[in-house]
Amino acid sequence: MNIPYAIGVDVGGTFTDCVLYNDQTADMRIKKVLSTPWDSSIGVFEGIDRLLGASNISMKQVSRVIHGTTLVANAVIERKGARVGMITTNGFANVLDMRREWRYDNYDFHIKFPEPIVPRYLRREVDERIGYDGTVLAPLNKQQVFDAVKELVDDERVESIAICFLHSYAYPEHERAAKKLIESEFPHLYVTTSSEIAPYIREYERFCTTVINAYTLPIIDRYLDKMKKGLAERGFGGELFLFLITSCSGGLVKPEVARALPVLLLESGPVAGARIASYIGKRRESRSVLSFDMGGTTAKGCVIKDNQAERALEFEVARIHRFKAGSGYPVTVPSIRLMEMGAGGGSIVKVDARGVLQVGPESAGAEPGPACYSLGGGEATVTDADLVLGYLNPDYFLGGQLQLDPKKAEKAVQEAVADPLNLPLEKAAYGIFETVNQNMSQAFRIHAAETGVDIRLFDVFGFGGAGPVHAWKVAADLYSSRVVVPFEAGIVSAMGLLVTPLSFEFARTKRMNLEELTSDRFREVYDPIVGERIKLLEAAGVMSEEIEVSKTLDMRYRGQGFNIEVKVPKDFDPQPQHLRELFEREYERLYTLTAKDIPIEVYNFKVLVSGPEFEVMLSKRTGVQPGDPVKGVREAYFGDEFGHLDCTVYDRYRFQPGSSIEGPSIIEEVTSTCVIPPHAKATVDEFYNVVISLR
Amino acid sequence: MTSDYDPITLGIAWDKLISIVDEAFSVLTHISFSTVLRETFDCSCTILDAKGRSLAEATNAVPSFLGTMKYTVQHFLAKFPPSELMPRDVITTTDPWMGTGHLYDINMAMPIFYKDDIVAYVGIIAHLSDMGGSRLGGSSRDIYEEGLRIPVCKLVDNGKVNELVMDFLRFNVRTPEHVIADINSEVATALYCERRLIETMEEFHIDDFSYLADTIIERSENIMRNAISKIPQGEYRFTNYVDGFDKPVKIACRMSVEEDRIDVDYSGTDPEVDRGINCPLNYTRAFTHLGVKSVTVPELPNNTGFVSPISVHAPEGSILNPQPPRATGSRARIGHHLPQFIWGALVDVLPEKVVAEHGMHNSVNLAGRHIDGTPFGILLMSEGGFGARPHDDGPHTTAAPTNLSPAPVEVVEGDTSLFIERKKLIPDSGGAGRFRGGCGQEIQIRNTTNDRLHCGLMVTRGTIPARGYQGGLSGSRREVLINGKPAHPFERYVLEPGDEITIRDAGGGGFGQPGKRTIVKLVEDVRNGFVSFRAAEETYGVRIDPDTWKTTRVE
Repeated sequence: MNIPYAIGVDVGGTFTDCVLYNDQTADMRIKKVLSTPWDSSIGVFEGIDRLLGASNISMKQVSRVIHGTTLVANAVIERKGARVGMITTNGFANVLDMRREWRYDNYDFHIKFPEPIVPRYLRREVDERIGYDGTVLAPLNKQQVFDAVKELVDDERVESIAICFLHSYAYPEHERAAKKLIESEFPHLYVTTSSEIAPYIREYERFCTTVINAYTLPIIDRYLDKMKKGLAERGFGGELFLFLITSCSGGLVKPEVARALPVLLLESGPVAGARIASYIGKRRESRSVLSFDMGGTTAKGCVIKDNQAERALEFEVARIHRFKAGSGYPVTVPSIRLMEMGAGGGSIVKVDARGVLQVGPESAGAEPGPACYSLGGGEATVTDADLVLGYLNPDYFLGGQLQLDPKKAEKAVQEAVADPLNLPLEKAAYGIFETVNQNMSQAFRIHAAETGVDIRLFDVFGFGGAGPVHAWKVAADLYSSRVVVPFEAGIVSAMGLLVTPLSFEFARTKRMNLEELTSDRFREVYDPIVGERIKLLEAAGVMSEEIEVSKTLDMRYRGQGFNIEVKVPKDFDPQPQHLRELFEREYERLYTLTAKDIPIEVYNFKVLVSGPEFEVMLSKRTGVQPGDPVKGVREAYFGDEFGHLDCTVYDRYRFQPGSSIEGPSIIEEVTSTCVIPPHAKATVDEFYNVVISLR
Repeated sequence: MTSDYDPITLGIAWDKLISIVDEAFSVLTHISFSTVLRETFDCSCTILDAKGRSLAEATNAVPSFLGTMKYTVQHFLAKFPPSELMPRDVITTTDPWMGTGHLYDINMAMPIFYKDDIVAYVGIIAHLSDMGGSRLGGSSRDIYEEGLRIPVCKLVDNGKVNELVMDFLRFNVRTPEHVIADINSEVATALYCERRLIETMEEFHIDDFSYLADTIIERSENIMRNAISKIPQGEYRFTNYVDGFDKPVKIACRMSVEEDRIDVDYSGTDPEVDRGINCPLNYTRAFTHLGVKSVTVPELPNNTGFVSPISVHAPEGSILNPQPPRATGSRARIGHHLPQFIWGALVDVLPEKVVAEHGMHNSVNLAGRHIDGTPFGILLMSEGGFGARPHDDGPHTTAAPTNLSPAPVEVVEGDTSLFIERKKLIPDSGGAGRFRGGCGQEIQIRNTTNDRLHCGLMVTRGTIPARGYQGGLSGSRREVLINGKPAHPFERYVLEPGDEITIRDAGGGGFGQPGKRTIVKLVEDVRNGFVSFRAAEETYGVRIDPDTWKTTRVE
């Protein structure tokens, strides 16, 4: 193969991260440029051009570009999507206005809710009705569909239509027929149906997901045209892939598919981070990993058990309060379960009414940023505390691109925390450090409580710019004994794009008693949905023998509200009694008890169809040089127990596999800083990860 | 760390206790069975100290249980003194007066032992899908008719389940599998709390919670006192009627704000009645506390300290402090109103903090048989419009003052095989105002099963609507129709196959004079169908041309 390069581009809120990787030599180059939110393709091409220019490589030598983007999320947050019309079942036009009818905060009666994406005057009801079991109770009135769409187009100038019928997950034919009609009569319109985008029970969540897709379709469509054109102009002859959040650990699709499913592009950056944590974890035989990705404005966590990232059927976008579940729009697509962990480096610290510390949720972001950035920010942030504690090097932040001012950090921490709590400066700073770490370990704990995992046995993977500073303490709070800090930890998420396989995930709600699920029934449900996804993968160039199919069933005791995911082993004979055993084993593992007398129900049939993982050679690292890694000594503060200690400061690029490091010490690299606490030992493994043993 | 917490450790330890009850709440809602627990979260988890004071209460617990566990545990300890308790004793009751006001809630508490001493208690409350008797509703004449009243007893005795209690339940409820499974889920949740509390003590190297408890409670109390002292001192009164069984019930609220404490006195309130709408004192306390907290320190976590500067008095024998054997099944229809009495009393002194009255929550208890043959018992919940705020409209169909989440249409239909013909907003139901009250909704349900459907109605705002504030108008009233005919708000009905029930939920009150509403907002409401052209003209004084959308002010 003469076209050895791959490019991963991850557009984030502040930075656009670009990674160039040579499949043959394992040479890897990285570039961080500022994002250009008004037109994110500008930042993308600036990053690509600078990366290629600096390496003297032409776009013709690039075989694939993998793109993750926050474009879709931003369109929702900033309410800059298309004008959408909604067609829905007669009697249910107000579902979006009524939400789930509860308040996400018990005591705040001045509470705000997100405005519906499609206002009521752009919704139309049509006659049709499906029962909960998928039977047709009233046929679809196609004339009404036509008239409604015509009116929405002529009078209201909508450019995208969302079709949302009750119980369509159980019988999608009405939505399909309506879509077919609209596509043939109004070929210029974009059309989304709820059964193709989120075929799950619960109307508000499904409709909300559908209108968000419809809202962002035209935007992603235009953006992809621009991307393709820009790449072609640069002589690119390879394949462009979009990174999707759906599938076990994030997956890729070609733009033609992404165009129809923009809702699957939400949150792609954080998911790519979890993806690389899982990839590295698998190779170094850490079976179970807590991915802990702490950046500038936020920290995200993910539980990866037996190399599988945990998954959720629902997440939220555009929350009004970042840490209040229920304050945003629900999106029900299967995806990695990402936890909003709390604060990032830019989170603002203050003393609350209780007289105790509160970190976030407000963030100083990149502008004005933490006080120590000297960009006009004066409020104390987590980064300021980390600098006061001696963990960060003011002259080597982002490799020296940004000079930090320790005096400004001290002043901010003094005023915001030390003075009001009457504490010495370093204690105040350490208090910030401890509080933010506790917040993050609690987020992991609440999650573990819901899902029944024993997180003490997990390795904590700390990455993102601030993750490696905090990871050891988060791990200690969780009684975990090992921390793994990957190489170039601040940009490693973008690497996640490079290792992701092509894949499709699909699920269908089909509720039945376990007894009814004979092996014939099982095949009847699965065969068509699996077959369709395999065809899509083959069309994308994946060889059929490389395709992996994995099936999971959502099951529960009849009467319960939450499902348990039961993985169907390969070559499994799907008899009800075998499925019962699988379910009971999983239930017992999660909740220690089973309920023998209660019948079991199958709820969702899910499948993941994926191609082979792309490989990135981890055992060869661009930028690593021979020589003495010791850069110097810096004093850092480790709380009451240890006080101020002299830490050896190391240059990460001079560590070879097998090196060992004693704590307390600090390891610096361009995109991050890793702290090794007193009494801990660390080694550098064959993949250049710094592995810290806490006990 | 036994005597001098630094503020950092205090914050971390405090937040950790809150985290534990939130974790436990999440465990309970994930493993429980009945719709009312898993979909609407009608439950709570509390950590109390060795003296029985509440230290942390689950953040998203239903407000009905705000602070009640403290009182329940006192009853438990009166019967089983701490000196006689053993590890893994789980004490329980469904008594409305000791617990949470009606016998469908099962209250439990378990002592937490550390090094042979009781260091804390965990309390778990959950609404069960059935408790026998005449089923949840408002028409019972006394408590005996309502169901099984479990006295204070040990459900689990030193780790061993008391099968006699379980058998009493199995023999007395209609859905024994779910009831027993939900009770087991509560016990599992208590055990979860036990493990996490012991881990926490080891982590902080403490042998008891006494210093932490004192500090949390003292600080919380000080914060509340400080917040109260900012309210202008004086005596504030609000008296009004709310819907009763056959006739409206008078509730008289007198609030005296004196220095840093608030005394709420309901003297003058109507006496208890011989139907199931009496509201026991614990429930009266919870909703009074909710009202006060919402205008003082809504953002801070709950514990005993926050409520200790607030006293609640309701005369014995009044509907807000009824005595056994009065029936209490629908105590919520009275108790839910109380925060609105607090706001009503304070509207002139705290106009920026209060909100107009709400269309409120509605429940219909439905029991029948799915067409697949399984019996079901669900609470069909729906919310009225939320009251308008000093600077904002009231959201449509949003729970208030309590907080519950009705199950989705698709879930209800699947669970029951009933047919919901429509669920939509009612135009002009939100009280007009400079800021409009939220709209109520209409739900129409047909019995498409092969069996009779038993409906227990629990309806408020059928007579007395949600008031607006400062010139804002009232919201619409709630109506329940059975086969098109108005139904009694608290009676039980049987729907034969093919029969229909229609619920028209009430709207929220408006805030400020309708004439002051901006034209832009009014036109938007009319375009969205929340306000009709006619109401725009007659109530808001703006004529809107339906073709051109041109507006003209009219007199």
